[in-house]
Amino acid sequence: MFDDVSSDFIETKISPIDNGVGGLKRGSLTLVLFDPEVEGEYLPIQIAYNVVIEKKAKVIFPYVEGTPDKIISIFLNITAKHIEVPEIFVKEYIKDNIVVIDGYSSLIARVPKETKFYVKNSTDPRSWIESFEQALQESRKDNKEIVFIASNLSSVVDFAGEEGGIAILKYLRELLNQNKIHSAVVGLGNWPYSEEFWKTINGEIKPDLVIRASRYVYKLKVYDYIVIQHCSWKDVSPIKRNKYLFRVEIPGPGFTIYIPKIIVTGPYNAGKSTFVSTLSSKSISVDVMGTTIALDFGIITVKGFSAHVFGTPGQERFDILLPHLAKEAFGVILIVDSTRPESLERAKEMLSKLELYGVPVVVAANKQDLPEALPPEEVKKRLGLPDDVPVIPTVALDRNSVIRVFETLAELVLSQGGGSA
Amino acid sequence: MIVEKLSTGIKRFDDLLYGGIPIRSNIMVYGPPFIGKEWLITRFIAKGLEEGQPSVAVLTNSGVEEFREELRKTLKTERPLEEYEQKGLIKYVDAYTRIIGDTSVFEGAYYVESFADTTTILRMVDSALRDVMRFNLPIRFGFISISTLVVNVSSQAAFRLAYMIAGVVKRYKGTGLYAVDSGMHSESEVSTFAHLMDGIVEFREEFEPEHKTYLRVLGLGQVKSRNWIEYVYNGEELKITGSFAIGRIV
Repeated sequence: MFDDVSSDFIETKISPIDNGVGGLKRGSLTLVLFDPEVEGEYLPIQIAYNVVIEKKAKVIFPYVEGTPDKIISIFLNITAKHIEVPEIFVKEYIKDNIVVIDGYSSLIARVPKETKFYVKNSTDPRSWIESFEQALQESRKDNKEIVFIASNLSSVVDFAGEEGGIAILKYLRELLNQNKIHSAVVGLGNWPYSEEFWKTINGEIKPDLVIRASRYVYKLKVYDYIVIQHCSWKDVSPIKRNKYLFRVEIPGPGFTIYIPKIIVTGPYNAGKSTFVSTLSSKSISVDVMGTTIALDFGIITVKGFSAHVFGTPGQERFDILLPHLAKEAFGVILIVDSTRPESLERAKEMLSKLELYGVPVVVAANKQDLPEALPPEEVKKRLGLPDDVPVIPTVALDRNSVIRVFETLAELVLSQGGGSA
Repeated sequence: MIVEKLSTGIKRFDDLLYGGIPIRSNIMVYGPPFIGKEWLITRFIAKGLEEGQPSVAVLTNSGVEEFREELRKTLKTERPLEEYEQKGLIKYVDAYTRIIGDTSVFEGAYYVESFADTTTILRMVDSALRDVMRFNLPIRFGFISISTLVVNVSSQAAFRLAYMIAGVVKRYKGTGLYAVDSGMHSESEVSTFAHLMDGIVEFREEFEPEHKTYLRVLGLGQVKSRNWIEYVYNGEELKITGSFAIGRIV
């Protein structure tokens, strides 16, 4: 979609943002507006991590909630998988490419020591801008794209006042207009600021992309989600109502788009348990001599997604459980044994017994490593499923093929509105 | 049984309020320092523990250990504070200890690590309230005090935090008392915050001809009197000595 101007976009590796609006556009200011009780500042933090680790840009990152060591250790405790930088260089790479500006030391009259760049007086917006200038000048020497990311401008506002926050945003606008940085991402808590403040944000500052992070409580459980509320370069009205659930886990994968429940089902001996355990970082299975008699459960964190996966037993005597296990599922992975065409009828039957309507389904045509396996197209035909149901060839022990199934399903779930129940 | 009012633990104060503070309300406790505001809030929490109700205390001008001492003094049962703590009936959010560089740890307390990080304080209050929500009983909430935050952040930032916390407390069906010192904030800030509250307990003192202290109640539904009522506070006890009975024969 954006191929012709691809160099103007930096991917965030946060699926709804990249798929929704293409990523961070050159010259754009992104505002992540979060309810203060929701951990929304981790979205900018994760974006900073992703663009650096994917070697897309250098990041200037002012930080006021603690010492530079604290934020660096947060970055180092994100274990999201990436390809660009080998594991052993990650630490060094993060330290070299995330330029932290210390806005904390001056508040507690501490001598700044971890970084060259610090704010001399954190209650004075000019002092902030001065430190940005210094960091910018130094960073430009590398000839890399620069993305400016402030995870929580509200902390700055607490000390430098609303005018201070506005002054910083205006300064960023200027940098963007002069093409001195590629783009900027600013997190801001939705605190009860003055009307004047919000008016200036919406008027004069006018962010190009607005992502809202909020929370809802359903059956005593708390769900945090993001919504893409506004975008100046793309019409977001079709996805504006989609709520993408998220979780933050550090140490761990960091900020991930969260799918609370995915059902893995299929006939007896199709390879469901193997599939779940290959896919999961943590999994349990209740089985007797290799056959699942209760359920499999796994926690999955893959490529910016996290999900809880529930496997069902395949034997007919457990069919009565199926609708209960499937309650409130967001998606279904149907696993079939491609070497046993006679089991496909049973697969269809199980799918209908789940009593899930309108929930996305992806079929894994499993055991493709065996010579007698039916090709995926044939499996699709025999299952008689609608055209838009993807059928993906898999080998349950091969992590890549299994991940492809999960990713396909996750994207389908998001395109249908994410977690908006 | 539905509890509609929460006893304050001060008998005559309960009388004045027709039984206590209505649940799910937020009250500003306002007045000069050292006049019994904090004692009133501490006693409110202690009374809750005595009745088996959960509490959350947010501390910005003393550490959790100090506060526990005060709480112990105001508890009027034979049971030690530890017993309530072990049950998880009380949670503390300590925004003081770390900031003065003390690294001691008390389980059952959330420590705000860095200097007046309002976002973190709010999150910890939210977590502490969720911890005690499981009892499914009225939650008592005390904030001591909003004014001390001003040492670190602007007065506006302190009230922004209090505003958000009051919303969170209501969401968890809590009843909150917030200490605010007079003379620390602009009048407009105090009155803006007062508008968000369901009531105010206001304290004042007089020095001439002799030192006397008074309190009055604004808002809070029906009360027996809205007049200034004399009380005495000696650091260990707060006693209402003035009279407010309706139809009293003069």
